[in-house]
Amino acid sequence: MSKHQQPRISRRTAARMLRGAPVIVPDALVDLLAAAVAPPRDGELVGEQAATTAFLEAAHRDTVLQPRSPSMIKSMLAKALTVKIAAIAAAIFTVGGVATAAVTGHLPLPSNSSSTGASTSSHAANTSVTLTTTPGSRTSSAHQGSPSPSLVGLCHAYIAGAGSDHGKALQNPAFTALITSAGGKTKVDAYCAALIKAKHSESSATQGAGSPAAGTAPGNSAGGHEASTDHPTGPPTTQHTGAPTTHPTGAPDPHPTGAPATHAPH
Amino acid sequence: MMSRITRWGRPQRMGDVLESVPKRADPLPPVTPADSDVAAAIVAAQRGDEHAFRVLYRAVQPNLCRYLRVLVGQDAEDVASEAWLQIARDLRSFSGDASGFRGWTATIARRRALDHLRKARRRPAVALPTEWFPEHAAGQDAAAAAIETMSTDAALALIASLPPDQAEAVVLAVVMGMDAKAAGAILGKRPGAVRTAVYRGLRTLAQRVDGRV
Repeated sequence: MSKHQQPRISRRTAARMLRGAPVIVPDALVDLLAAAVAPPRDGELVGEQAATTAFLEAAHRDTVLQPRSPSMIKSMLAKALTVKIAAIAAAIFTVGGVATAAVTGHLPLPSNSSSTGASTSSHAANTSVTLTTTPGSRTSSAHQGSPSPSLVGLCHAYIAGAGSDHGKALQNPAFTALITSAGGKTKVDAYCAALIKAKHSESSATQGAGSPAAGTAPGNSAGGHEASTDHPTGPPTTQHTGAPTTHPTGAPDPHPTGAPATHAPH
Repeated sequence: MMSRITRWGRPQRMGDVLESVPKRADPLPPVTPADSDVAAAIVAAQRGDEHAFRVLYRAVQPNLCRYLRVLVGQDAEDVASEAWLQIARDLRSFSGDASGFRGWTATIARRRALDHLRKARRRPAVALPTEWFPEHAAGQDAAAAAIETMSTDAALALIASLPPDQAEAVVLAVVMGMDAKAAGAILGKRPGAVRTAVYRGLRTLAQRVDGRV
């Protein structure tokens, strides 16, 4: 049991470790590193409520202060991209990912295998999307045109939490706005179902409408030199009134194309 | 033989890590969710889903806090709270997958930690551990304490006792599960420099826990 038999830490060891490959290290170091990544203890999650409150406030502020900011389209695109990435990640994980990870302990890196994972992502996309948006299946009269996104967020939060403790969830002060909007605690279920349904149809509509058709028409690129002749023809109209015959070169014939533009303001 | 073949560097699969150390069975089950769950939670949280945000918090916070422990010692929880305020505020602007999210949160936490250190004007890796770790009580050798109890705190204290650049590289690689490129992006270093820092850090750690150097 001599300590001299201990395997040495080499550069290769470090490089392999950084790749997630198996490494041979001394027992004591294994214990130390295992302790460093031991499962979380209670105390390590104490800030959850504070962080969540900040999250809800931020979500509320975002939607109240800038409901129709120009960055909305950008964030929508970003979200679409995120869904795609989520789908790829999910695909990698579902397609043999679990088995691979279990056997080798090595998670396939998304950056390496995203191209191969994409071909099988359609199935995973469904799971990841349905995971995140599981509104109540109850149908109710949804006549709201555009529900406040923060209320939708609260609804999602409520529905997500309702499974575990239905009654208690609404006692959380975070839901006060939701209860007020719904018109009472008992109406939250139906209200949220309607709200999310409305939001769904709205967001799918806006995503469809967001197709790139907003390019500025470059049309007049060839009209550059015509425009330069346009300018002198503008003032000359007043000069022409003074002496139409003294300007033989300024005859109307050479400027037939520029004519409509100069006439328009008159 | 006193050595084992172990895999590190992707501790998202904490089950694997623990399998190599069965005697260290913890009463709390690992709550670290799969990457696909994290990715789905990112999308949902960006829509304002509170439950999804909690999933993200639980997925990231423990390791993030351990990273911060190595950076700022006993102030880790405070700095983590500040970091989470920013994460909560800026979450909508994030775009990426689970490992991208870990990197993003680590970058935010690191920035907060450096701000904190700048304010405090001290290097906690040198300044603190004694009162912060119960196991590391007066006069007791950190390495000995780590071997005897091998608590997470003691392990982090040992890592934090390394030179700062090595400590940070080791904790990013081992605890945050980053590869050289991802860790390098956070540290502003080339992957090769990260590998070297991890190598030196591990070598020193191995000597300290084994040879009591």
